[in-house]
This record gives sequence, structure tokens and C-alpha cells, in this order.
Amino acid sequence: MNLAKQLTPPLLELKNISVGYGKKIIVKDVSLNIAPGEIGCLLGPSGCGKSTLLRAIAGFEPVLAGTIALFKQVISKTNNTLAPEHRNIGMVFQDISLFPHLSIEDNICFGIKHLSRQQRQTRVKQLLELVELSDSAKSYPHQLSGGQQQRIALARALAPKPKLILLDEPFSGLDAKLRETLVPQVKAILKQEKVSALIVSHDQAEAFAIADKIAVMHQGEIHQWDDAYNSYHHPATKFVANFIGTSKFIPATTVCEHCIETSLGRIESKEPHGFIAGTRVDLLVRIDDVTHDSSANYCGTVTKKDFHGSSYTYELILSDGVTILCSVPAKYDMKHTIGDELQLKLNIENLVLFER
Amino acid sequence: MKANPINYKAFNWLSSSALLIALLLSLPIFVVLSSVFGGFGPTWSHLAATVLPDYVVNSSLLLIGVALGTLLIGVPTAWFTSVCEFKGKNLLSWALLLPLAMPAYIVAYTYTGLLDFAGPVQSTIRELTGLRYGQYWFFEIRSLGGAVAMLTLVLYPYVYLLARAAFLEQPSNSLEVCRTLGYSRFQAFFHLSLPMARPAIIAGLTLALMETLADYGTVQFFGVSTFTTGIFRTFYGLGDPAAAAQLASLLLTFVAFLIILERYSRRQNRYHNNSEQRPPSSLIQLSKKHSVYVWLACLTPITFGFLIPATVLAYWSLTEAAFELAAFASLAWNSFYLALSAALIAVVLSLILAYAKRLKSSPAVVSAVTVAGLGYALPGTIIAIGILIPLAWLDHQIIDLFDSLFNIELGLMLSGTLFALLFAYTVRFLAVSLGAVQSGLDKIKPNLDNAARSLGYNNTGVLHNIHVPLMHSSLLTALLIVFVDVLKELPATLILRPFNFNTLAVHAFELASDERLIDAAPASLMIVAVGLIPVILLSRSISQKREQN
Repeated sequence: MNLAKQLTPPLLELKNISVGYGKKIIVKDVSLNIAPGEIGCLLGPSGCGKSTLLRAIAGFEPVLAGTIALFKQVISKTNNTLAPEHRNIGMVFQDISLFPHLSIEDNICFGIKHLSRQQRQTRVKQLLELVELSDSAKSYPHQLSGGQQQRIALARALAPKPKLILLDEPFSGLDAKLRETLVPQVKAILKQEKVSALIVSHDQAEAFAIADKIAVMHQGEIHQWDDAYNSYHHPATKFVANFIGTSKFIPATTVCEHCIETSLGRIESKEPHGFIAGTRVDLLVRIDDVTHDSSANYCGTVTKKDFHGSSYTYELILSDGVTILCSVPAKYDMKHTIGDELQLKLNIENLVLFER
Repeated sequence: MKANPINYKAFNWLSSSALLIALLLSLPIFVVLSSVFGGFGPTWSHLAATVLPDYVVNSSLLLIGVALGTLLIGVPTAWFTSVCEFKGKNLLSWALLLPLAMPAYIVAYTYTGLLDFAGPVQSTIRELTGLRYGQYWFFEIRSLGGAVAMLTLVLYPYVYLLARAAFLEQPSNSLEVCRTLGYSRFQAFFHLSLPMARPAIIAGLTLALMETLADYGTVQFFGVSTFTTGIFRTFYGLGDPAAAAQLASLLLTFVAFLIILERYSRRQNRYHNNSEQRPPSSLIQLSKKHSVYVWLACLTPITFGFLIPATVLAYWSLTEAAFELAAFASLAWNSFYLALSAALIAVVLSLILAYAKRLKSSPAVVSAVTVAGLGYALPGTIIAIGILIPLAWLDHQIIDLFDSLFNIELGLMLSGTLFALLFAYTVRFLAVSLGAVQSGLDKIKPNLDNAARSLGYNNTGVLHNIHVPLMHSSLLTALLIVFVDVLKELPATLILRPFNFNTLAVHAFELASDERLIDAAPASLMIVAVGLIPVILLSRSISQKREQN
């Protein structure tokens, strides 16, 4: 990380905030910062509190404890919530929520009524070009497809030039193919407008595709706030390791500061793993860490086999009863079926261990 | 995640107003119920020894008869017009609603005029056969059976409407599952469609039965002694408001049973909601022969419930009825401004209640909204008694106070005035406007509010820029339905109207009571004509829904 970026004051600063309804605490003691121009993502399973956290930042929910500050100015603290209309934070909703009685043009203009007619027209034109829907200015929301509506919703939120924009599962109502094209498009639009964003998602691929930094949330707490690479390769908690990527844990015992003993043999890493010798640990084994190698010394019994087009996923049970996943390219498929033995080799350079 | 619009302390006044409204509107129920604790006087023991068993028996028979009649007409017609496909289906499904525009008492006047001894039907029979009075048998329209027939003819649309909606909402694939498991179409109807629609059918039935219990005009005219006529007689004939209120509280237990039944069935109904589209292939194509049967089955209630009475009323109005324009205009004006004021009050109160619930859905507010909406189940007679007793008491307190303090002699300020009448209408019909306003407000997703807030609008701005434009048609509907209901209302108006103040409904009632059935036609026709407007709106909104699917 370069020095200049470190010195830039954060745009959004959450300090130890808790949010809840009545006695039920939904977000617990969450802290995170978002730098200007950065795209963050709150990633987690449904019910983890990510949408509630987003609504608190927007000003729709009061905080029970902690502070939310925008440009060092506190906008939410206990018993004091700045109304959403005074925050200049844009928001895009999961259910899109375009105003059904207004044309596309009027929807986009809704937040910039204070500007002159001339300025409004320029901004609408500019935004419609940005979201590639210039022909739709006079249309009404119901005449557009779901993906088009979501782009207009983004344009509407961007119109008043907010410094921060919040997106609450903006792609979850759309089909997979459309999502694939819309996600990079939205990222490009946000970057072009130089706006910071915080997006809520339950989909890891979506988070990786759009976000600079990802907060993995579970049961109201943030487990890790990091970039995509580190979330995948250096998960901070067992939950993060499990939630991101397809993987299994296998039991292991540390032997020295660099190596461990597993039922698939001894594995050595370059970096010291940080546990003293003799500690019983769980080793994270990603699906791509295990390969089929007919010369390998260890093997597992196939219990399940799924075809994915370009590859097969095998679920195997090892001699000690531990299950493991292995991906084999379909073109090399050896026609193994359930009950067959498969020689396996672990290719792990970076050990991800959690104490048992 | 539940997305509630934000709530701030500033809205406490809304919640408090909602509670106050609910408290005021439930006043009549409390008054009537509290009469039970006031001790039973000699009038009550007299009633109990003489006419009370009649009231219970007749009201019960009336309920049973109307229940059977409305089910028998409402359910099959609903099934034909939702599941079958035949020529003219859209026309019929619309026309089946027409009798909704007819108040039962007006249908009763019309059929009495047609079918009693001096009427054209019996006269024609006598002319053709040469028989004289007593030498032939003819159906006596002025009877319990006649009342059941009249009420059934105008109340079956409630069952029809809700049953039809339920049939339409049933996912066609569950019907297909039934077929693959070896059921015929006919068996599938009895084993699947009917049980699935049962909550909706019961809800429609309870609405029809509430109207039956509330009816005064028909049973009074036919000389059938029921609770409502009994309450009137006790109140006016015996001059005993306390006994009338006690009678009313007995009637209230019948009503309470219906309310519980209705709430219960609606709760079940919620789980069956499914707006999945029905492919045209799932509709039953009727053969020509069967189409004719279905046409006949649907046309019969339309003919007897609407076409015949409407034609007869129009004919009488245009030919034989005594009609004086100036007098009629003043009646129409009375009805008009009374109905409009009541509608405006109801809509404003509904807005307050609906917003209180939307912005701060606390248990207190939710129950306030529920209580305020209970009036639709209460017969007008109960409401009238429940209002008259406290208002008369309050009036006398004020009169005594002014007399003793300032030596000024005041007249009745509340009980004998339009205030009492408007109060009663609001209690009775608030639920109607509340329903329309709430459904309009519910259609506005909470995130629309949130989106507007995040774009810099405060609550007033959201109201002005989002809610008003999206809601104005719902508000108009609410206004219109209350307007028409007030126009048709009879028993509460009869009890509470100021001295010498007449409306169209009261005028028709008085002429009919004087056996001047034909002269009552113009006023009746006017009520029916105005009553058609919401029926047309209703059928339009139904067909719009179909297009949207």
C-alpha cells in the first residue's frame, strides 16, 4: 500500500457500531473505513446483518452504539441520527424501486430538482450515456427490462453526485447471464464517476468481480475486512475460509515450524505457520489444492461425482474417514465411479491452519 | 430483511390521533355492551317472555336461508366464470356483480309491487283464468321466505366475488397434479379447488351475513320480526332505550361470531395467495350445449337481482310515479351533501390511521386500526342506539349547564343534528375507505420512500412527490364507495336524522311504508343508478388485474 493512500482520510468511518431492533442486536460492534473512490463489499450469508448495516449507514436505522462518520462528520450516533435526506448518500435497492409514475428522465431528475433546467438536462444526458440507455429518457420504468431498470436506478442515485453510494444486493433479482455483464459495467460506471461505494452481496463471485475490499460478515460481526486475494488465500477465521471458495478441512498435526503431518502425507510451507510443534490443527484444503496423480502414494475412495462440463468434482473419503474434494479436468477423466480408489496429491504452498 | 420506512419521534402525534380515532369510533360498541350491566328492567322481561324467541328464531332462519342461497348462487357462478371458457364469459363475470348496486329494501319494494295481490302478475293471472281472491294459491312475497329471497338476490355477489378471486388465484399446476394422480376434472373441483377456496368463500359468506343481520328495510317491510325491527320497536314503540341497547348487545353476539369467523378464514386465506399466471390450456372449454346451461345459470341471478327490478323501477318512474322536481331535488341535495361530507371525513380519518400504521406499526396502533375498522360488521341500528344514548346524555348535560350558569335555554346540539348522523356513518363505513386507502398505500413499496429520502426529500416531500400521485385513484375510490354506501344506508339514518330531514333512502322507505310503492320508484332508481358507479369501478379494476397478469 503506498503512502499517499494511507494518508488520505477515510470517506466513511464506522466505529464500533451496533444496530438492532428492540432487544435483538443484528449488527455487533462493527468498525470499518472506506477510502475515497474505493468500492467495498459486505459479503455474507442471508441474515448476517449486512443489509441492516447498510440501512444504518443510509440513515434508515438508528445505531445503538458507536458512530458513523462521513468526512469526519458524525452522521449517526446513539440517539442521534441525521435524516437520510441530509446525508448526500445515494442508494440503490434490491427491488429497484424506480418511481412507477415518473418517466426515466424524471426518475433521474428526482434528486436534482434544485439544479437549473439546463444543468438537469445535461446531467440526465450524461448519465443515460454512462448507463448506455440514451434512447429510454421518455420511457416509463415498466417498459424496461430488469437489468435496464437497475442501471436507471444507479443513474438516479448517481445524479446528485453523492460521495458515497450504497447498493443493497443490486443484482440478486437478475438472471445469471445478465449479472455477468452488468457487474463489470456497474464497476466501470462507479469508477468513472469516482464515487465510493459499499455493496451488499451474498455471492462471492460478484464480490470478487466488483469490490476493492471485502468485509466478510457472519452473525452481525465482520470477520475480515480485506482485499479479495487475501480473503481467499489468507482467511482470518474458519468461517471466512469456509464461506469463500469450495473447500474442506482436514485434521493435521504440526511437526516443526514449517511443516505439518496429515493423512495425505507431510506438507512443508515456505513461511513459518506460527504454531508450536505438536499442535492439533485443521488444514484448509481448497478444491484446487488436491490433484489426481497416478504415481501418488495416498488415495481416497470416491463417494460422489459431479459433472461440470469442463471438469468433474469428486468427493472422496480418506482412510481415516475425512472427506475431501478434488477437481479433475473432464478431458482427463479416468472413468472413475463411486467406490473406486483415486490416487491423490496435495499441492499446498501456503498453509491455512486453524487450531482445533 | 424487513424494510420499514423510518420512524421518528415526530410521528407520535399520528399514533396518538390514531388511538383517539379508534377510541371515539368504538364508543357505540362500548355503550351497547355496557347496557348489559345496567340491570334488566320490566321491558326486558316483557320482551323475553313474548317476542324475543321470535327475534332469535327469525334472525337465525334468515341467516341460514341467506347462507344457503348465496352459496348456491355465488360458488357455481364463480367457478364457471373463472375456470371455464365460453362465449360471453367476460360480459357475464362483470354482470354478475350488478345486483351489488341494489339495496335489498329497494328490491323488496319492487317485487312486492310486482307480485302482491294488486300487482300486475297476479292481476294477469286472474284475468287469464277468471279466478278470484282466495281461489288460487300464490307465493306470499311478504314473508320470511320472501326476505331470504330478496337478500340472497342482492348479497350473493359477495360470495361470488371472493370465491372467483380464489379460484383465479389457484395455481393451475396443483390442479394438474391432481389430474395426474387420477382425479377427473369434476373430482378435482370437489377435492382440491373447493377446499382451497373455502377460506375465501367463508369470508364472502360472512360479509353477506353481516349485511343480512344489518338489514332493516326488507324485514320491516315484509313484517318479519328480527333483531333490527325489534330494536326499533323497543326504542320507538316502547320508548325504552336501555332495553333497545340490551337487545342490540344480544345481536352483537351474533355479529361477534361472524367477525371471528371472517378473521379466521381470512387468516387462512393468506397462505393460499398465489398470483401465478394460469395458462389458457388449463381452462375448461365448454361445448355449445354446456355453454347454454352455464349462461342460463349465470343469467338467472342477474335477471332477478338486477334486470327485472331496475327495469320495473325505470318504468314506474317514467310513467306512473308521482314526481315533483323541486321536492325531489332537495332530497337529492340532502343525500348528496350528507354522503359527500361523510365520505370526506372517512377518507381523512383513514389516511391518518393508514399512515400511523405505516410509519409506526406499534401493537397499539395496529389494534387501533383494527378496532376502527370493526364498524362494517355492526348493523346501523346498533351504531345508532350506541350513539344516540351518549349524545343525548351529553346534550342534556350541556343544556342543564347553560341553563344553570347563564340562564340560556339551548336546544339539542349533538343528538338531533347532522353531527350524530355523520358520526354514525363514519363508524359504519370507515372500514370501507380504510381498506381502499390501505391497499393504495401498501402498493407503494417502502423502498420507494427510502429511495426518495436518500435523494434528499423529507417526509412531507415524499408524501407530496411520491404518495399523492400514486394514491389519488385509491383515494377517489375510497371516497366514492363511502359516498354510495351512505346514500343507501337506511336504519341509522332513520333513527338519527334531524327532525324533518329527509334523504332519498328515507323518502323511499316512507313512501313504501305507506304502500305507495310506485311513487317510491324515482328515489329508489336514483340510489340504484349512483350505486352502479362503484360496481363498474370494481369490475374495471378486476379486468385490469387480469390484463396485468
